[in-house]
Amino acid sequence: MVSSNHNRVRLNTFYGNGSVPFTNPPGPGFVSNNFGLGLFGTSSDNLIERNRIGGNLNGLLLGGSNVAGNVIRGNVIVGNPPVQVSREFGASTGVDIQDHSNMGANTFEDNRCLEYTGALDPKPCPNIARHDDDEDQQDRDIAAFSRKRLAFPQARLVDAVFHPSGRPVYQGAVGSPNPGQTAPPDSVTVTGKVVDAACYMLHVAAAMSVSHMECGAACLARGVPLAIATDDGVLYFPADGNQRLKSLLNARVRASGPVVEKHDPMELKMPVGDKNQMVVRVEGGYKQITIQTLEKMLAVKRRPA
Amino acid sequence: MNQPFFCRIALVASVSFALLFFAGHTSATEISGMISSTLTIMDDSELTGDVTCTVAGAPCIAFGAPRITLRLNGFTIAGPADPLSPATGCTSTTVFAPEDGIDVLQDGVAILGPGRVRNFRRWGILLGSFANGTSIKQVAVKHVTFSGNCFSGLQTAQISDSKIEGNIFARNAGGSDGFGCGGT
Repeated sequence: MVSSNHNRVRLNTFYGNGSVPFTNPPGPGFVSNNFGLGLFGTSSDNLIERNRIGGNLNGLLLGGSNVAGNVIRGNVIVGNPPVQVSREFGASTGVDIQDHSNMGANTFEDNRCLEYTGALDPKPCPNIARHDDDEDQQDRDIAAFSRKRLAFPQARLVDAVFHPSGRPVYQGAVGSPNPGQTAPPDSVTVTGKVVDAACYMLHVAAAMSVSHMECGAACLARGVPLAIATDDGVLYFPADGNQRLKSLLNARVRASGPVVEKHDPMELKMPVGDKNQMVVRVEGGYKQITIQTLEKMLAVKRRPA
Repeated sequence: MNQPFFCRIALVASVSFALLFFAGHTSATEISGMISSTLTIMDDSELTGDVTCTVAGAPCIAFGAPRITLRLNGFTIAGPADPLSPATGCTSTTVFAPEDGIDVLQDGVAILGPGRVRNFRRWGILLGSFANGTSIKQVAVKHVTFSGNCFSGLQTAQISDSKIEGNIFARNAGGSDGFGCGGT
């Protein structure tokens, strides 16, 4: 990366990159300028996070005094260069982190690495204290959800664990006769935004954001129920499933039809990766609407205060 | 640039599986087969099959418009380099011909995997430019596998506010010959 700024380099794998010169074979004391990931020129303020970097001639190479302000954290940078290269071309050929930047110009946090050359003192490597893998990260994500992101008072994360994924569960929200129904249906008109219900209950702001569109679409494809979220935060689940709302994800709509109160618990299962799912249990009842008319509304532009 | 040029693009939008042979700008949505002259995409595009590039002295694919997306759909874009014979299979640091897989000089574009970019004589993908005063921003490269490219798998030059996430860089820079190269 040459003179590149404010970028995010995350969750990549850099294995086995770099070679020694072939037209002028190196002699004793050779130091390679090849790398898994390299920052050169005036590259600054980049986030280098949670990458796996191994088997390259150098793992991470910070290429000069103008490389500054970068945050390098949570990476696994080991096995650079391969031992055969060190034997063939000398121990100086490469290291996990080769740092030519000024001391303190960049921030190293919580990386797992073994070899470092550079001005930093104490050196960021060796650092073998960090224990992490994807499973740990998932645990932390779930814990974070349950600790501070559960925004919908009627919802709770069941045991805060992943469950093996099967077909998505949509219990209770489908319009079949249900003993939990207590009130006679009244026809009402509701206006709101079509949301991925499970995400909405976990974190309203995230579910309503444009950036959630792709994630919401992925959840929809896996059968996560949609609902209409009104401006005052009430969710209306369609009695006939996602069919009528699926083309309106994130759109503002007006729907009319009978609404019933359901009192039996409902579980919403969100896919997490390919194999896992997270279960949100809705307790204390929810509203179900049998949509008779449905129209998409134009986006509301709010005037500045 | 007096190379004979044609490119083969399968357009399925209106004519199923029809192969059209042409070069230059296109708003193709579906790409597969052989490309022998730079294909400049002007609209969202995707691979519908593996692509073999034989372009000489220029990139295989270039972005001609901002804020468009190229989806690789699990297919491969392969160049002509032989990383095990770098002296003959790669461009050199003195010639340094821009024989890259994909060149990006537009803001807001995305290259999305899964998919593979391999065996190009210079960089697999070049984001940005080394020319003074030239910069691009808000580019995304995600879930792409880069392998066997002679110089770096992905080179960035003067880019900002971009995301490089979830990619794999393996066994690139086999032909860098002392030039500072690697995965990214």
